[in-house]
Amino acid sequence: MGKVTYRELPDDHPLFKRGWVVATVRRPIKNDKKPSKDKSVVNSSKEDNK
Amino acid sequence: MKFSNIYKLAKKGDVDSQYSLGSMLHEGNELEQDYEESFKWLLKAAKQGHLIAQYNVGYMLHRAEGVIEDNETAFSWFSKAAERGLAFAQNYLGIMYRTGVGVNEDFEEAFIWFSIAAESGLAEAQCNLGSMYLDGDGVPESLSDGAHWVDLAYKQGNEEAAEMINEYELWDDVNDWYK
Repeated sequence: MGKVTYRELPDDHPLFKRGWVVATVRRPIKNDKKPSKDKSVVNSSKEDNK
Repeated sequence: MKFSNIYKLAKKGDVDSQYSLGSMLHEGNELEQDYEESFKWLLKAAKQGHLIAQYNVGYMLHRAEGVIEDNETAFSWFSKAAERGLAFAQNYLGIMYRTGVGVNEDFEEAFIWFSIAAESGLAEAQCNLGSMYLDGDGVPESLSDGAHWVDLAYKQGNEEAAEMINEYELWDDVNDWYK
């Protein structure tokens, strides 16, 4: 279960009138569990895009 | 158009007028804010297939605005709008799958819906997709892919993205993507 954060859309939004929101969710990051910086586990899609 | 005309047309079943009336009642600018009445009119518009109203009804059910919270029905309305291509609904569907609210938790489904919405350029969906990559939820953990999606949101001026880059210490990974 992640933490959901709501952001109100701007007044001049092209689709929504004032008062509607858009949301994001993410797990709280723990200091002892930051993503591994070991590049060997990193998905190879970056190389694929070269 | 005057409120009285919108009201008359809405009562006659005009879907755009029902949506306008529901939106005005939700906004509380031209009319006094009334979530219950807003929900009533937006639901009528949603049932007639108004795309934005379908999202709005889903949101109001989820957040208990003018109606008793009902996440299963909210999920159903978000699904309708998401299937029709509304990125905001696709993003919300992803959130419901990721949090297991209104539907069984399913990271793979969350990943799919966040991906679709992120590809269309919605900054919040890009953050959500980046978060899935960074946490390895529904997809193999990937700092570079996570950083890439968060960076796309950051470049749109998204504050959540800036927070994520700092919290996950992604500055190097963002730069690596473009090398």
